[in-house]
Amino acid sequence: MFVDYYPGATIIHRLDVRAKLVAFTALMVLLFFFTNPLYNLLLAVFSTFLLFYLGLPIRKISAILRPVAPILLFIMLITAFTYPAENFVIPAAKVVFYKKGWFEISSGGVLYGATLVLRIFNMVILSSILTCSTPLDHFLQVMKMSRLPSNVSFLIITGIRFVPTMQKKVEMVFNAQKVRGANFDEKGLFSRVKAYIPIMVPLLVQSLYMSDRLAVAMLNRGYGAAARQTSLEEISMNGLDYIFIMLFMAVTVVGIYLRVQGIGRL
Amino acid sequence: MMELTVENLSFQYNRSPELNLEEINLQVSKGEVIGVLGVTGAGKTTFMRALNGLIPQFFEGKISGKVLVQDLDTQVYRIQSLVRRVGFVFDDPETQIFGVNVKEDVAFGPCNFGLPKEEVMARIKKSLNLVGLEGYEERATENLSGGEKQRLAIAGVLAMGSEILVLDEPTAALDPLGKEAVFQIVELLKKQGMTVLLVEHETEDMAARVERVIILDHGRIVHQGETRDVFQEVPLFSKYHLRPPEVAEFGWCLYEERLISKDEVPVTEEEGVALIKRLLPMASPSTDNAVKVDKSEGKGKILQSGNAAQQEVIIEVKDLSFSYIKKQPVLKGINLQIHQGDFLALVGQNGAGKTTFCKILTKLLAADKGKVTFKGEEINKFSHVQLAKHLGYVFQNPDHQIFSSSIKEELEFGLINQGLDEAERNERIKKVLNIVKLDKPLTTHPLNLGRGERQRLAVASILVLELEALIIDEPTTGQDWQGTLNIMDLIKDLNRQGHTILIITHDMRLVAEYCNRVVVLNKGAILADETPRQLFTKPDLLKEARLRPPQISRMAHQLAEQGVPRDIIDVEELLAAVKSLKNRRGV
Repeated sequence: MFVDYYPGATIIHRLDVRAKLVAFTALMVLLFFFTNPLYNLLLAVFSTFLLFYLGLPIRKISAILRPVAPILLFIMLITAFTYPAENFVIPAAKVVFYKKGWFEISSGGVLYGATLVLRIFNMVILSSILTCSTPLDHFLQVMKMSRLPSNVSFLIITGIRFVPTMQKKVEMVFNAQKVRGANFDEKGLFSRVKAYIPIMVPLLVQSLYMSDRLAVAMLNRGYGAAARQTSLEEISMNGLDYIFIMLFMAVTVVGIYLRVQGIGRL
Repeated sequence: MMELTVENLSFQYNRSPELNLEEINLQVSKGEVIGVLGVTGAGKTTFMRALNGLIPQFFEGKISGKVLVQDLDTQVYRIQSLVRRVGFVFDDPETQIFGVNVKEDVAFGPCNFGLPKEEVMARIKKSLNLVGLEGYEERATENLSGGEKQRLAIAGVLAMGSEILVLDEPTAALDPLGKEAVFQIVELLKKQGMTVLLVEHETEDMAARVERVIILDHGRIVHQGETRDVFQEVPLFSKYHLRPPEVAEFGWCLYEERLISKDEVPVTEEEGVALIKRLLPMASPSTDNAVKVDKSEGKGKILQSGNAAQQEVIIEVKDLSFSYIKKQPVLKGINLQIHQGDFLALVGQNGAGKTTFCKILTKLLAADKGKVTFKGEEINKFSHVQLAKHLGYVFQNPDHQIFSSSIKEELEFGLINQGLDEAERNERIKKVLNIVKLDKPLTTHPLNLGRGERQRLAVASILVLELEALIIDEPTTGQDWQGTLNIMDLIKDLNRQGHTILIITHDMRLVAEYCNRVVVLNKGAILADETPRQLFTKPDLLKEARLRPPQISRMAHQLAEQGVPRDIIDVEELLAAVKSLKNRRGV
């Protein structure tokens, strides 16, 4: 779900991270306003369009969706079989296709299943759009600008900064064991988990060792010298960002209005 | 006022059984560049840590004596205040970079001091310029090479406005190009009047760049003096297990034979060349064209290559190509035969594809094209487990391959995978510990060993498997000279016992000394495959691959007019050549 930054020059790329976050939040809220799959389908079309607009290669998109596909199918089936018709309000949802004892397949169940599936689909796609159009750095800057204590945001930022380093270390330990004949290809969950345990130990030791060195390096760069650190953030909002924010706020208001009117229910 | 004043400094880490620094006295004036030499464990890093207050404020222990940075007492002022005057660059490029991108990392220091934004930006620009990283502002630090990271670390320190720079083995993890860039920065800073303390094992690079040298041993300054005076005293180096520059070693031999005075012992390449030119006036072609030097084969220099070539081919690589990213090949059509008994060096710049190549040989990566056979069988037909019974791979950093909590467990890991019973395992472990000379209790935790010992443990963990062929990736990185010799001698012994060896290294002096064959990898293709002696006579090729032959070979190249043969690879040979030329001419 968390996709690497994919460089580009589209409007979405150029928008300020804050504008994107507002839009993202608005869309996420809208997803949960309506149970009628029609509305979520509309959103799905919109988000899929955006995804293509970003110019992401198809391979990447399918890599995002493939792992969630079985879950989607599973949810669809479960909801279709477990939501009886009396849970629904509108006539179209009250059609019963099959009924035996407590077991009932209704049109409402199928539709509600579709809504859930589309919700998850939208969440995956929208968060992918957000992360692949925004460099990590921008998120970090937002974090710095928020009222978080500087120590906390430094902690998070440094943590993220060292993810790739740790990944490299995992790979190296993994390789070191492979060349000494460790068997990672073995069948069976238990033996596989067992084979991975020796990787965790050196990694833990290494990270403790690294954190010690980092502490020294931080002091060495004067960490904690002044009460207030200078911040260099450069993200800035322009007209387009404000328009974008207004637009999505308006959409949200419309969404709320429709919801209150009882539209989009099943 | 002195820039640095160290008075009777003694220090003992809390858990250390003995004094780590003892009665250190040193005064450094502004603009001085000082080299610090000593074996691993001599107290170099401890001493440097005492200069910016890390000792005793972060690393606690018993301290006596005094360190003053300009007028600030390091036991009174906070580290954060001291670092504005003394900047410290560590050996490991990984753990001193904080920024996601270059600009942010350089800004880290100045921002911590709360300087105004404009000032921070100006400092970023200035310090990136100094280290030659201008234009790198937005680059992700994660994607920088080791050398670039180290330059960035220097920039980060410079941006704090430090006037004293402490470099603790700044080039230990770098390839020759990266090393060169760091040394150039040191020269530039010297010109700008910075005070620099440089801890370094590379004496040849140090000789021309520092003004004063101190030698540390067992926590004490055992010798200090002007660079020339120290470097001319060659026996000092062997006494403290240090590697003298080849040129000084050469000069010292001449001095011992009373051919020159002690004051004439050269310490840099230029001085060496000038000295020989003086000793051997221009050759007249009629008398000198037949100079032959007895190239003794005592160290197995070229003799073995002939032998090995007749041996069975153990690894064969045919038309091998590989890329991590499409259309950016890392290896392009490699063909190579490795014979039983070879001691082969794989050399080339970082990024030339050396490690990738070795990973393919050991099946850690799969080739895109071409095939690799081991004793005539394609390695694709082997499983990892099977291949690991024949071919071993020792990685560069011992800390990346040691993963158990005792020496015994570490050595047992591969043996258990091979399915040996306990009696046999214990037998093997005993044997291998003897070979690598590691006489610590078997229950010792690997992290309680020194770096050199950990490297030996890493080698032992592969050795214990008694494999036919070993790939060893930069076995001597971060080792002092003595440690380097120990490991190389160990590998040499293995080779004598019939193990086929492939090492990756940047140290041409070791290649000359130990290997019978050297393969130059450049931009993913094999540029040369010959004996070290042949290779070192080809300056154009070396230049293309950005390799630097040993100092002695470089000197020989500049002395062709004097009749010195071009294919000289060590001190003894040059000495023999110079002496025979001198006798012949009766100079």
